[in-house]
Amino acid sequence: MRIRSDIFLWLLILLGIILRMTDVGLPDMLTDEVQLALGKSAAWTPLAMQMIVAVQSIFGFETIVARGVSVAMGIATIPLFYVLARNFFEKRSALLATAIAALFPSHILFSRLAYPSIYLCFAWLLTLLCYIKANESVNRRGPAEAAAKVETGAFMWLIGLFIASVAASFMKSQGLVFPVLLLFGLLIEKRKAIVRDEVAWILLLSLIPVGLFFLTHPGVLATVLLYGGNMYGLSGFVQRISELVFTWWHLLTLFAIFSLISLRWFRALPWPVWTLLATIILTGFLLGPAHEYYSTHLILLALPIAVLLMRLTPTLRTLSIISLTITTFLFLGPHTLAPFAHHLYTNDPYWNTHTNKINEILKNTEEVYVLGYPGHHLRWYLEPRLHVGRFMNLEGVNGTFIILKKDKLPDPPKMKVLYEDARIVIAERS
Amino acid sequence: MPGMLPFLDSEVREKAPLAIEEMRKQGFWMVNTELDSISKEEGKVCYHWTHQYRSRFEFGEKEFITTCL
Repeated sequence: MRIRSDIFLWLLILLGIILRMTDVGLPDMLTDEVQLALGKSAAWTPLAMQMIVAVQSIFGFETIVARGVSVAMGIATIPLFYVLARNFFEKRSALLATAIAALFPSHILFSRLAYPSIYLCFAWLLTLLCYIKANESVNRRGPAEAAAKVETGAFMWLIGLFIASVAASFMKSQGLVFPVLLLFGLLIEKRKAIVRDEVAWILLLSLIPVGLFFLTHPGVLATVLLYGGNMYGLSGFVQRISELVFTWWHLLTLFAIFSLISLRWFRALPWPVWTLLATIILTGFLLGPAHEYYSTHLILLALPIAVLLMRLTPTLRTLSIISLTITTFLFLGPHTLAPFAHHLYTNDPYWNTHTNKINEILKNTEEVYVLGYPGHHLRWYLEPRLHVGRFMNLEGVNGTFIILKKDKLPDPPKMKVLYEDARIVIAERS
Repeated sequence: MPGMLPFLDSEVREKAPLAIEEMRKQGFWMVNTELDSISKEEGKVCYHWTHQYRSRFEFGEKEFITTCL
């Protein structure tokens, strides 16, 4: 009976892996994805960008390759989640938690897209694991004969914690929030004794590289100031809360209900897990609650959901798992089969279907002026060099222009239209 | 770190957004542009940039641009 049940959970994990590889190339590349894929954003710390550019330098700058790195990161998170869960649960419960994590909708969605959130999610979970193991190893020290072995283990986990924490802070700027909150948590727990706590020192040291990065790269601070008080911050408190709830509900549905019920059992988990959940809610709330990608990290909720399910009767537990699986499939199954597929998989992928035709029209053109508010995705799809025409004085300038219809600009005078569809106009002035 | 020190000067901070506007008037994508250094020349503040156009098809040659205000 137990073997059959384990096979069932393994099959669910396999389904989660397959869903992460489904419809990967279908949606158009989005503007943030292209910033990551081309390795250029002033607002982000560089590690995720360097990773994706390195992989594409080998396999080519293609949508499937850029998103493939996310798929790999998403799949790699699953065994990491199991190792993490084993710190709190016995084998079977850990497997159950991993199956729920494998099927977690927001994590599947962002495993298919080239957003840095999937990289950060991995790094944060790794930081949590290394923190728990390092703390455990350091506290286990004593005069016993196994001291040398414990010492080696503690040393390795402390090194691991340093690397994971630095990696998190360099994946994306907000990655540093979790190590900072862990440090605060330690301060509350240890008070004056924190001065002699190696884990606290490691966390503090791990924040120095990113601190120096911020000091030497004004782009991060400039972006915070640019969006501060508007997208970033506390302004519109009630609206932020409602946006956060709406966005997360829309992505999680039944998982959200299970998460809410299971929060009661979060007490069964140690405070660093709470701290990561607080980090996830805080960053989503402060940095843009309508941005779906912050929900990637909610995979952590698979831990309390597993605690909840383990308290149910076997029949109810099985029914719950099947319901969660069906929910995920309805939302993130192959787009031809999923009746409630995410809008990215039901929208017309305009650029994926029109790029060849547009590039054919532009084939003898070296430079194009884009009129309107272009996203970075244009540099992914269009071959000529693109100029942002919005701030330029283009009066009397001859050449080829792309006019983005969404921005409803007045038609520029004296231009010959070369191509027009529902989204763009290509025109020439000579 | 030396690249950030000029920002201690209020004139440099004040003119920095205008320097970015000047770059935008040339049609650059600012994500493709990095600020290398800042100097003062003949009473003007000069911002020295490196621009490298990046797209899926092209990692362009580096261009060095100076904006004096």
